Amino acid sequence: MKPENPIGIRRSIATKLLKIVFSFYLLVAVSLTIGQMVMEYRYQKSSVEHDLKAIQQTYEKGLAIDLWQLDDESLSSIIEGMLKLPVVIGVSVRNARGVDVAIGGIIHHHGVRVGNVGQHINLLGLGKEVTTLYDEHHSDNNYVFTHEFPLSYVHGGKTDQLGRVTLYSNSSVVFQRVKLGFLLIVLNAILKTVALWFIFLYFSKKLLRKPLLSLASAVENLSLDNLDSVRVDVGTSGRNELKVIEDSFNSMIGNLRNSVMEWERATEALRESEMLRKRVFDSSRIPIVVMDAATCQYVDCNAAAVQVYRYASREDVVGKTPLAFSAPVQYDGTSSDIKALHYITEALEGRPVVFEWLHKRPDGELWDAEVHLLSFSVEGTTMLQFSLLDITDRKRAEEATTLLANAKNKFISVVSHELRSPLATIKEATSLVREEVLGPLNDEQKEMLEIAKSNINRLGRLVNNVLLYQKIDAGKMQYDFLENNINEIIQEAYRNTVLATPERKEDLVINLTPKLPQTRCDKDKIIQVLLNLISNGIKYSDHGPIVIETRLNAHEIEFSLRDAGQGIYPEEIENIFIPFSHGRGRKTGGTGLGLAICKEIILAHNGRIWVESERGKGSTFYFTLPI
Amino acid sequence: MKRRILLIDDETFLLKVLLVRLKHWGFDALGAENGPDGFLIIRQNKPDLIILDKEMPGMNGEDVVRLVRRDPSLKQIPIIMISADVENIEACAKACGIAHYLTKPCEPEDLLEMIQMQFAQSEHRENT
Repeated sequence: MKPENPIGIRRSIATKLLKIVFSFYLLVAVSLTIGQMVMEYRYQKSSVEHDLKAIQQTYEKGLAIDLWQLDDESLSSIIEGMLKLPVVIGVSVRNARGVDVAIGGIIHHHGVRVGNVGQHINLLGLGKEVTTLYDEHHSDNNYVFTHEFPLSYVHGGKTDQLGRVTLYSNSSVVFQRVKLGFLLIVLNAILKTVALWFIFLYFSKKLLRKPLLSLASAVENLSLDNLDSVRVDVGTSGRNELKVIEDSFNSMIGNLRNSVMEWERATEALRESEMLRKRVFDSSRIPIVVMDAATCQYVDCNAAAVQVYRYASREDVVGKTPLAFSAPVQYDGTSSDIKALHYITEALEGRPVVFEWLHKRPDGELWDAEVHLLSFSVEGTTMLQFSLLDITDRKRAEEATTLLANAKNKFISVVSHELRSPLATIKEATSLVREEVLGPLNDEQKEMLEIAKSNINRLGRLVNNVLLYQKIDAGKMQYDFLENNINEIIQEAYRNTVLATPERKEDLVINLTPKLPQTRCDKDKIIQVLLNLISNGIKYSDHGPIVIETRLNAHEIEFSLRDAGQGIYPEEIENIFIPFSHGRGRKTGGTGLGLAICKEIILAHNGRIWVESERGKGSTFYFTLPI
Repeated sequence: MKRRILLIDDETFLLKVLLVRLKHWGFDALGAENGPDGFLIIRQNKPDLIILDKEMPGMNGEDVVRLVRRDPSLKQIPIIMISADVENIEACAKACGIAHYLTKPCEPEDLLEMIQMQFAQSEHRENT
């Protein structure tokens, strides 16, 4: 893929880098070139001076002879020859007196340039002085430099100073020589710069611009869909910054890919969970409706809800308020809207609310539901979830049971009352006869009437117990809980028993733990329990001790009554506290309700009651009262 | 002089045997099978003690007690209420302002004890 170029070459970082680098490079190159040129100039100048020295050596002797011999012609030809040399632009010869005797070309006189004077020779110093020939108006911009040397003539062992020769040369001579050198230097510098520019441009593009653009393009084209196909290759080899960026970027893509995969997995899981939730919600056999707390309208419901409401589809339910499905008034006569508001408010306070609700179907049929109401929040919206449990059947059954229980209680109550009156009459009539109020009786008649009396009393007790048990069963038994000492209650029960059955007084053994803590109980009811247990003990053991004990446990007082009777069959122990569950070892005289009443009374005290028994060895009845 | 006791109970047989019992104990016993008859006898004979059944058809024991208590000449007569309704007898007696009651069936000794106690209280009141 060819990377698209989003940035112009002018604004490219490579160009900028190039510009900065070349600005400095140019500066350095120009300086170096100038330096090089100065050096070249100096070299050529010294070469000119060297040439001038060589001319001195060549012409020094000839000039000295010509000056000694005053040979104008020869001097003139020498000067002419010298002026033809490219390095010499002027020559002046001065005699020992300091007078210019020969000049030629461009010369200076007392430091002043006098221009091209041509050639003048006046060795004898006659005629015009050569200086008068100086063209003072001649000037140019060339820098003039000179080489001066003395002329001397040796004869007969002595040296005569004849004068001085000055050779003139100027910068133009040097420039003539350095011209090519300068051209080469500048050309060299320009070529190098241009070459470097392009080389730099090429490599910066290759090494920097292309990789960066390819990176940019990759980043630009990167999307969640092509994470697998995108891989950045900056095209550099070896380990460098771009390679690091490439690696980092690829690693980032890798991480991104993993994250996306993870995210996709999570999304998938969420979707599955959502589907599962939806499936559970829809397939739940428990009708569920969801209401927006703000609008009080149903926003969702499941199939079970549609079914239980007896509507055709979910759309029939959604959008309606709960009141559309409710009976106008509830069980207690309260209007449904007031009652609904009460429950909704309670649920919105964060408490799960459970209540029974009388619903109405479109055809007017009423049905009962146990409603579980709880609030929850979805993205800031408070929702209420109603889970409905159709309890119509249960409710009807409960009503029937209640009716039946009421009828039973009424029946028992009426029967008991209706039994009492004739029982009272029979009792009174037989008593009158038995007491011989109406005439004397023989012993056999008396015995028969005693039997009648005993059974009348038993029937009376039975009626009392049936009434009592019915009262307990109906939850109407009232207890008067007060702080009592169980030992004192036992003593009172003991005294009553002794009064009723003095013949067994010796068998009754009281073995009480002293100083027991007070316990909260209904004294009369506990006495009733004790009398029942003691009378049972007496009834089921014709002889032998009946031991009554108390014991202090961690949180309770334990009472026990042990008799030496026949004991209870193991299979009967379990049912002994159930009404009318006389065992096989039953004795006449019981009502079948005594132990059941005892159990109910002890349970009402939060105590426990049980029996331990071994056939043939007697039984021990226990009960506990919390302290 | 024999103490006069009026017994009002719609249970004819019980009324009969109790009258025998009361007479045996030496009282001048009168009987009535319903409330209106009983109240008539009370007004005519001014008994020293009234024993009445709480439940009777028509005018019941409570109604009789109310009538007696409303009449200034009768209101001092002590009353013993008897009933087979062991559940409610106590509350009912209390509501009628009667201190003594017995449940059916009752022991003859208990009845005699209660009668004697009532007479003792009456005598005490008369003396003071």
